[in-house]
Amino acid sequence: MRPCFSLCLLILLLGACRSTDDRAGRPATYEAPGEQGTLSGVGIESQDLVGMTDQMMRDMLANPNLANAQNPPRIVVDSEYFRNESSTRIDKNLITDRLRINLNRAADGRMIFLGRHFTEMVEMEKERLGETPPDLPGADYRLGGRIATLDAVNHKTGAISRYHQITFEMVDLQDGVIIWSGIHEFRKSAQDDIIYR
Amino acid sequence: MNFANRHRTTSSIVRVLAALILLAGCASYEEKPPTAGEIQSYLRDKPPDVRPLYREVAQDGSHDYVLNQMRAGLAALDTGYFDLAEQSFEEAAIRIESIYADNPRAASARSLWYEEGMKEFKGEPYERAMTYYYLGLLYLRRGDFENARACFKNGILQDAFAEEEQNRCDFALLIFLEGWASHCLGDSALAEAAYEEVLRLRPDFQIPDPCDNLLLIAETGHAPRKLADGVGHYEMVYRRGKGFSENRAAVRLSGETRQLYPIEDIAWQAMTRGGRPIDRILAGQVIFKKRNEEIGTALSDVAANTMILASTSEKNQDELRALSLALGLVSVLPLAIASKIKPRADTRYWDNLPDVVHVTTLRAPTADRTLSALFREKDGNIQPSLSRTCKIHWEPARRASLAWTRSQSALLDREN
Repeated sequence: MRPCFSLCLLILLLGACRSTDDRAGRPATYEAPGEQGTLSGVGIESQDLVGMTDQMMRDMLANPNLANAQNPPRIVVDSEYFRNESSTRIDKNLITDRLRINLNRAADGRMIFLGRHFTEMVEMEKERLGETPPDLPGADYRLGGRIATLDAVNHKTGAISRYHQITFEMVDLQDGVIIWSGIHEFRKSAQDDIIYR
Repeated sequence: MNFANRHRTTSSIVRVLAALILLAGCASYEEKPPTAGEIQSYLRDKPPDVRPLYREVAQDGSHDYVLNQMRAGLAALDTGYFDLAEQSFEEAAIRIESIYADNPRAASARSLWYEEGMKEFKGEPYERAMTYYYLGLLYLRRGDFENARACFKNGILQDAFAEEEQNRCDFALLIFLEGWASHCLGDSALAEAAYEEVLRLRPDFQIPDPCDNLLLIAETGHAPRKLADGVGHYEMVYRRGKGFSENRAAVRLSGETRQLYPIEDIAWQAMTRGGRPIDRILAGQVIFKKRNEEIGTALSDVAANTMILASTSEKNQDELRALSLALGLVSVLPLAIASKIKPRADTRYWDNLPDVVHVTTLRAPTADRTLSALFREKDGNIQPSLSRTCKIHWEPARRASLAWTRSQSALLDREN
């Protein structure tokens, strides 16, 4: 009876305690940028960025003003007029660079992209060759947009949710007419462990 | 088996059991400590002034990583290593933003057998909010107003976790800075909305003029402290920092002295957070510990009385002694459990934070200049030993500038 009782006690006590060990660590692994990674929060993550830019690219390529014009339009796609008014810290170039590069690849000459962010490089080269710096080619359209968020917190449960609304607008630089618009929105929620609430 | 032998056997079992219980309670979360070479390599590019604090970042591992980055980042900011400070606050913010939904350390910290301090530090809402405050200032300094605004918004969000409703989202400093970031961006509508919110919280605050281009920030005093109180130190209480007397700030620029407005009392933010959910868990652990102690004590009293009875009784002496030993054995269990329950609150805190933050804005010529910061006591006396010269930092496009200073050094007393 007694050995049995002692054994039960031991099992009970040892079972109640748990040792965790992360000494071995974890080697670096590749993760698909279009899928949710092992670490995530409620901000904009790689899968959001990939999905959003792919959606906008397809939408722009389907727009006749942009992709089927008689003369390929000259377009500026950069982050200059792409505003971040959200509560998410982000390098906006991640969005506009991916969009421009993938559009350029897919458009196959149907749109011409101006590298305004390389202007200085072009001018310096001209200067080095002793040539007069050329006038910058004018653009027909330029991308603008906005990142906005709406946050909600439940202080009792520690749950947080963030709604992102990312708008894209292509503006005709002659008259300010918006010739194409796109929107990407998503909401994420998460709840931290009770000890962090 | 005679009585003496039985007593020895039972005592041995009791000892072995107690030892096993204690050993089981000591099971812990292990992390491979960094080697001396790894620490040296990490510290190689760190400036000597702040190296002791970065040594702690490297040495202490993930348990105190956020806390150590907060301390080191603030020391780096105070000594002018802005890029390093930004890296530190960025690292801290990334971890603060990570959701600890399935973290073994967090699970351990919730259990009976570990102290709350077992968890990886993410700070209380006021500490998290201050992380975003400093990160936002560093973004402001280099002209990234949009990300600065995102930081201030995130800081306000941290304050939304406060338990006391009337003190939720009342971090006027961050709301003002959100407005200032919008002001620098030319988003006057967003700036005005933020300033209106500031006026609701601080009716006597003078909102910036649309032409203002210089933000002056001065910090006074020492960080609010976290102390453990109550039975077994399960209750966390906040106390104002000590060892300082200044609570006003002014600046002297171009021969003129300008008072700064005390917009945020950090100690007040800490003290008005209200109860935390973990406090209820700790309180439950204290009750459980007490009950086990009471049961164990009662059982061992009964065992002792039975033993006395056995020695005076003429009948059933052996049975009574056996019963006494059995009760003694059983009493060990709740006592041992009670001794291993650790309901102690986590009192780690960000100790180089200020007590109060003061701000003002003005129109300044776009030139690289310095200004003198003066700190006064309550009675208005200037403390000359605290006066500092600080530089006005213009962002690259020279749309706005920032001057930040503090009365107390953020370099904590550490051995190099």
